[in-house]
Amino acid sequence: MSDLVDKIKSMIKTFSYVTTGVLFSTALFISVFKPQASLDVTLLWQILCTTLICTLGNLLYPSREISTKQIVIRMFIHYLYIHVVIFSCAYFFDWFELNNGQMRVFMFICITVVFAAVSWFTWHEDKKTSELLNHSLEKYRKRE
Amino acid sequence: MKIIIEDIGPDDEEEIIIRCREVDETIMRFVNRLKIKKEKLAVRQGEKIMQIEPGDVYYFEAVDNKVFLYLDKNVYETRLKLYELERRFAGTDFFRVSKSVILNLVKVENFYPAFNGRFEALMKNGERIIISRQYVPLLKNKLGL
Repeated sequence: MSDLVDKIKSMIKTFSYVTTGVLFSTALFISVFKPQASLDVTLLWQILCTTLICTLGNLLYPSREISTKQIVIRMFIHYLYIHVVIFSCAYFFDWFELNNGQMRVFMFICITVVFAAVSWFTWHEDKKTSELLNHSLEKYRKRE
Repeated sequence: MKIIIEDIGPDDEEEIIIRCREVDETIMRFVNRLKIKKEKLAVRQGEKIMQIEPGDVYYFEAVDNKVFLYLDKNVYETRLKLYELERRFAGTDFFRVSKSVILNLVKVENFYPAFNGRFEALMKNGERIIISRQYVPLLKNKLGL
């Protein structure tokens, strides 16, 4: 049960990070390629829907123990999965012309930057936790 | 707190009686500490069988149905299963950090983040042990976080 709660908590956290990243990328994309565009409210729902599907990629990491090599492989699959999701959504929601090379490269860079940023934030959170653990370990030792 | 030490005869069994109003964390830690100091672990290294103090163990690891004890430099094998060791040292400085490892918290130098919510314990002898994600909340609890 606590595994499920942990998983949901981690997915909510990832969802908020990814939403921020996607909103930022969308704003940048529209500013560069379609500065005159008038936007519909449906775009916001499309973004949330895309982000939600991207967040489901967290399910690639099981609760059971896996090796570091397995994690790296799964991170790579996760990265590819996000590309597939974003490009599929871009096609279905008609966000950009898939035959436009510049747009494809821009989107590829955005995905890579957001993926790297989310991974960094997650690592940073773990770093803070490890500092807390070290502080508590120090206190634990002093109690000996 | 009064501390009374009585001399006993060579044939008498040594005993410790703790008289207290309630068994709090300090007393439990004291009892567990004594337990570690008094117990010895029978281990094997090749053909040799010897006894070692549990407090010297850095970590226990299960590999292919065998359980090994890692000290500062030496590695020994024990016939005990990991779950038996976990039970035996419950409440002491030994703590399970993954399906296959129980480590001695006193021998941990520092914790570092690893991939995907896991952590790594850098031991005082320079070895690195992975702490699985599902054991992190228990570790936090153990360290009073």
